[in-house]
Amino acid sequence: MKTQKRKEENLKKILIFLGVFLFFIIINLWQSGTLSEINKIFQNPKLQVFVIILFAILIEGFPFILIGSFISGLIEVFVSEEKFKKFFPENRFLSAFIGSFLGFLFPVCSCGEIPVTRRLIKKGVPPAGSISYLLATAIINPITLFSTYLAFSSIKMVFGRFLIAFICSVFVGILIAPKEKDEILKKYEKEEHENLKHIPKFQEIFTHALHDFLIMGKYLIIGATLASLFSTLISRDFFLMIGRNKIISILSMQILSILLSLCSYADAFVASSFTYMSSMSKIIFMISGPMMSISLMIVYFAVFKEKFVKKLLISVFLTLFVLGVVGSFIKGI
Amino acid sequence: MKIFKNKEFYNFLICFLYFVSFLVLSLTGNYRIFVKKFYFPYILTGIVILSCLCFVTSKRIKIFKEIDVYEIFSFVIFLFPLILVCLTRPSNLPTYAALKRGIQTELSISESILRSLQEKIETEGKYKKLTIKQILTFAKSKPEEINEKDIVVEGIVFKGEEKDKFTLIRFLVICCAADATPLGIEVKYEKKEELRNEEWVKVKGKVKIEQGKVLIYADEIEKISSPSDPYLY
Repeated sequence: MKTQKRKEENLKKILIFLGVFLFFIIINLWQSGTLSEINKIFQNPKLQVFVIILFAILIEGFPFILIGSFISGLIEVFVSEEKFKKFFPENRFLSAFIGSFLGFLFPVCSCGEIPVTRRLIKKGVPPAGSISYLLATAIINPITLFSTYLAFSSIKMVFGRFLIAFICSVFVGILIAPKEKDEILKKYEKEEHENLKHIPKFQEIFTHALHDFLIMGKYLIIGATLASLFSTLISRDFFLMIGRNKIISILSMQILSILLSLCSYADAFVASSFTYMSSMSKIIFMISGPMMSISLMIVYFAVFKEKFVKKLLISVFLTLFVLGVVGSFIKGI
Repeated sequence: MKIFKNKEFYNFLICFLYFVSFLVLSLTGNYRIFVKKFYFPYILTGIVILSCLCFVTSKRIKIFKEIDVYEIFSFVIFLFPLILVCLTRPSNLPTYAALKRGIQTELSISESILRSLQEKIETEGKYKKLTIKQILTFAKSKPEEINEKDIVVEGIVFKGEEKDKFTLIRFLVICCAADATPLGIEVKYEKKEELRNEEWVKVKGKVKIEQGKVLIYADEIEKISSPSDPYLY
């Protein structure tokens, strides 16, 4: 309780400090007669690019978070734990295998899959199945695979993306899945203690959706802010230049995809424009982003326990790197 | 005022503000500054869900739950992008983004898309009305379609350092502004000093393809206002 109070006090101090800081900036500008010049600051090209990218990620992400939260509310209200237990076998491999193909049933973008995964875990879906669903669904779905074909006009690239995403999601799902769901999910006490049984079904669904939206929405904003900062300030050419070597190109494309936080429906077109990079590094770029982009990482930390997220990120990063290196030495892919 | 201490009031405000913002963006069509038209149905779905959330939260305001400092902080975070976009009022990606991403002067696309681009060509007097995307595609795959031809093309000016030459830029968007790829064509124009960076212009002139590179010899340049849809797709 004491540490909780201390945290609250610190947060209060930060808010007061920010308020006072802003007040002094405005007073200072007003006294120096440059308050009207403030418009020039807002028209600064760097700030304009930052705001456009930030809002683009949010306009793209929010509808999917909302759709995901709504699906999550529906699952909570209408689907019983028993139904999921029948559908998902207890066997780790089989449940990870099924989880990785669920994207064909719910083809949501990378932001929408998190509230659904959270609800699946709460409903007792085996952790291995939930993790592989979380990692694979933004890639192994008809829309993403079709957009990959449109971008490259090559079945090899589509197959390469599908295969590596499938192997990585199943492998990581099996590797890091704990026995108990409590080892994955963070608990939100206020949400747990609320009794919603006395309200109409419609309200119950949207109350669950509201909780999910409020938890994940703010972290999406923080993640999108970081992603747009990187996207505004870091030159893509830097990553493309250091990536002439086969192995380093995989690493640099992995890092670039994490920083750019592109939508899985669009990243194939961006990857296809990196003319000088190897095919394998392009495939890794298209898998790494939808699995662990910076905006997703922040939401992962909001929803899942810290220890679990660290394990998840490290294993996805290393698995993709190893698969990328091995793949780049196999002719034809 | 008790309502300002009620957490549910702030939850309602978050849903309501995002509902209004998404509604305004879709009604004005300004969402196209940020994302492609393809996203419109998703935005509409988001608006419908947000309106339901507004309804649910408005019902919950009656139950008083005191707000704590964490929830105030969350509210500030939700407010942050909305305030920022109101203050900056962005209209399209500036050329700064093109320089950071690297301007692409070559473009290759599939045969079917090439054919559809050929079908879309309009004329303005003696000039063929083309986009930068069409010009770069034809230059690579069907140069005879544009070489030595009179064309008219629109874009943003990036003056650069070369004398009598500037780069005309347009952003090619696949999903949203985050993935926008800058496309550029060099334009030879003797009165370059009359132009300013970031200005939207309509260039009329003759295309010449020299060693695979496109160069437009401008006859006439007209300043125009930015189009309602600033990107190419």
